[in-house]
Amino acid sequence: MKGRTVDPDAELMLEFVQGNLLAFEQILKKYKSSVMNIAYHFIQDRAEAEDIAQEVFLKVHNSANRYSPSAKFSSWLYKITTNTCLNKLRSKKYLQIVSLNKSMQSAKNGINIEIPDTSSRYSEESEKNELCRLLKKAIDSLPVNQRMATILQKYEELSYREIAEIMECSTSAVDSLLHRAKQNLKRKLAPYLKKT
Amino acid sequence: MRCLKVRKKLSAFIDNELDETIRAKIEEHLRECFSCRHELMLLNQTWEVLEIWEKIELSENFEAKFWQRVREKAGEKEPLPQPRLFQRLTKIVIPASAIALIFSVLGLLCGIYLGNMLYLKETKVSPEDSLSLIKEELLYLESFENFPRESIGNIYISLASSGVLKKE
Repeated sequence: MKGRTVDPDAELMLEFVQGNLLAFEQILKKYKSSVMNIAYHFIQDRAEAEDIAQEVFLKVHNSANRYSPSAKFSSWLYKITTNTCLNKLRSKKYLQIVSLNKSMQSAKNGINIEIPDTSSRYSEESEKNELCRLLKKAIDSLPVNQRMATILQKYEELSYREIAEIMECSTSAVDSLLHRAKQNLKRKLAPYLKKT
Repeated sequence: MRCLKVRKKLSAFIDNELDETIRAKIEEHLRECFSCRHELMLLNQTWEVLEIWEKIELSENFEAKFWQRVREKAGEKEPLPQPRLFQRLTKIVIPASAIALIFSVLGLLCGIYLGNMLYLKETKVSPEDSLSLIKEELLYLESFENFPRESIGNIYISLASSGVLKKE
């Protein structure tokens, strides 16, 4: 006999396994935005992000029979999300971008590309839009693990322990990843930070 | 605590992931060290800048698209109703049908019982009534014996008693 789980989302998932479609609908409603935004911040393309979100929920839907509530449901869901994002990144479309980045990579500190000074080119854009564009480039230039840890911590407000569970590493590794990510971003965004 | 050690922990300090003891030590160091305070300010600014990249909303038909993909994956030809509607219908229609069926059967049984009761009540007769009925029936039978003269009945009985019919 299965014991009652504390995680209400895991309970919903188990209800869905028993055939309750409403339970899955509740999961979908609760997590669709988070899954979509993780994918969007990682891939930086709205259409691709939505496609990834669809794919993630399809995987959850189709693998329901194999679901076992050994971990927190959200961690399991976000693990599927990050893996789907990584697979998408590895796909043909993104390989070209990655290889371009690699050629510009600095082996020493792990920072991949230099952000060009685009202030004159986009002089008519608002400062916020310009900064947002620079920020996206800076995040995109982070190594994949640092980028994922940053997105999960900053945008999903997950704890180091939850991130560690999702990324299958230790909390000290997450600490190290986020420390390096902050240092890299600080360097990339230095021109803007000096202005403020 | 030395600057190098403090700076390695500034990221976790910002994310509020340090235990109270270490946090207190870092705060103590920051009160005295301008350089580390400056580093913390820059890291804080960097982390806050990330907030300008706002979250996006999903398209309105995200869920409809998802259920469509589920149906396609399952290889269903006929479009299924929306799960919510289907679930609601299942919850309402099936119990309602069961209740209606129970009431119909009960109604039918009551109808049969009442029908029988009424029939028996109507057909129930007292001994006096039954005696008069028998007498009445006998009277009818007797009336057959008194056929008027020249009637077909009388001719038939006369012929039968004379044995003409038997010969033929």
